[in-house]
Amino acid sequence: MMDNRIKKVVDGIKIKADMRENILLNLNSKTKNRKIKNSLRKNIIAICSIALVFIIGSGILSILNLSKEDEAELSNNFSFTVSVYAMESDGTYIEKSLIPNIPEDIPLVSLTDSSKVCVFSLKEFEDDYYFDIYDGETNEDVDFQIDSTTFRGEDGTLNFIIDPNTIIIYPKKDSTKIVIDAYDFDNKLVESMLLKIEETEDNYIVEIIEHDKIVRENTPGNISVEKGRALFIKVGTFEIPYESELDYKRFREMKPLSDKYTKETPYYDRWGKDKITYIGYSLNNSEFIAESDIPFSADIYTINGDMIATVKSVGEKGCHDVHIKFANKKYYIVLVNEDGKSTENGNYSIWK
Amino acid sequence: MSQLDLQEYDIEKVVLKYSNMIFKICLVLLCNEHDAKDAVQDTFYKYIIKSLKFENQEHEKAWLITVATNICKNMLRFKFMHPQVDFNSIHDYYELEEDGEILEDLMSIPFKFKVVMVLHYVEGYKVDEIAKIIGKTSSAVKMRLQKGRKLLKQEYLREEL
Repeated sequence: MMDNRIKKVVDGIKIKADMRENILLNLNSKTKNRKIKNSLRKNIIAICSIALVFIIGSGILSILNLSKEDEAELSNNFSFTVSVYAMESDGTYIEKSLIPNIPEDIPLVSLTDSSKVCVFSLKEFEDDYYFDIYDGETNEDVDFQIDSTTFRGEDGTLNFIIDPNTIIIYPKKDSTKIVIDAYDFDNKLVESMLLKIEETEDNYIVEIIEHDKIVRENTPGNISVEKGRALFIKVGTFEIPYESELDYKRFREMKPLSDKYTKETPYYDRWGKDKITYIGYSLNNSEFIAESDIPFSADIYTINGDMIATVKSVGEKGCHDVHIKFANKKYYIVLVNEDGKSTENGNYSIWK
Repeated sequence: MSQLDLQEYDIEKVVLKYSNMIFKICLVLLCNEHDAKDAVQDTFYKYIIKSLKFENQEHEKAWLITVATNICKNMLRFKFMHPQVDFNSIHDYYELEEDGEILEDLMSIPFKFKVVMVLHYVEGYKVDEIAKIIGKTSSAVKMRLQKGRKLLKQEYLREEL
């Protein structure tokens, strides 16, 4: 009944005739102005392209600023650049035209100098996140909107995908440092971390470096994920679907794996019947492999119950797996079947 | 033909066809007549400058709704610290006092809930369709509808007391 009343009342709203006339007038006038401006635009872009090449060549982070009018201007050595692509969790690109909901007015960002420390300040508003990005030297903010969007640069640039709660980082060359700050509605910093990402022959190694936020533990730790596999880095308040069932105390009860398990004789167990499965051992200096016939994720926790990353399984139909390498610091894993499904064909192994 | 070459007549046709629909969504989301008008204008401006070819009218309508809600969200975001809710400016849009109360209740609930409420109950979109329009999962839309109804009931009961 209430629903019908909402429909009746809202449907009764009509735009005033003078308002509509005014909108039409403004639209026509704006369109005409744009036609005139458009003829000048090609020249502006040509000049900017030269400037952009020069700046990239000198190794400075550069941002080409596209205004709302789609007219290019250079501002303060910062640039927005390249194209936006959406990427599936397996790393394949989706055609732009296939995305029904391309966010409007998003400046596109690529970091051309991957060795520079840049700060992304993540701000949340109504389930969407906004980033302020600046490098340490100029300390200038560039604000842009994120909506499950991928940023892809030329080779040698940092690529990342933003999901409402997660960031996937694919560094291309050398080492990359990123500070991620998450803010709540009151503009208060709720989470902050410094990541160092290095590309090795087989892996991207993500090092979470001690940072000025107490939520990070004191000793640095390393996690690496094989190339082609996505590491979802937690930022901000992360919604854990199974939170009510999670027993954080269990992490404290978990001991390291006995020394009798080695590379030759790894620890092996089955999983998958339950919605979530705790790996019963703390993981450090070891490799962890989990497999299943249905998609799943391996959620990585600290001893305090902070989930720091989710590694989504990759694979084809009927064969999904994750492969994570742990360095010195202790972490804990919870395996989670997608959509609460169940299977009898899951197994995992720990290789010390 | 580029959208820039749209004739005034074509623009007028699109504005006439969709302006009521876009305006009522923007008004509920922004709670302010003048902001709603600006949002409508920006939405149609984007329509003109984008060279989009729509598969059909439904696609066109959904695109306009997506753009309009994103514009509203951006406007609210920039006014986050200084919200400009102006219930006085909506008096012209209802006749009965009780209709005004319903409208104010709907406007009072958070953005993410009222978007799905309006699209579902007013525009008649199904959960899956709303999910595509706002770029969320179907389960998230269901949850928001559920919570939105609950919040509306709370508002309603508060007034009853």
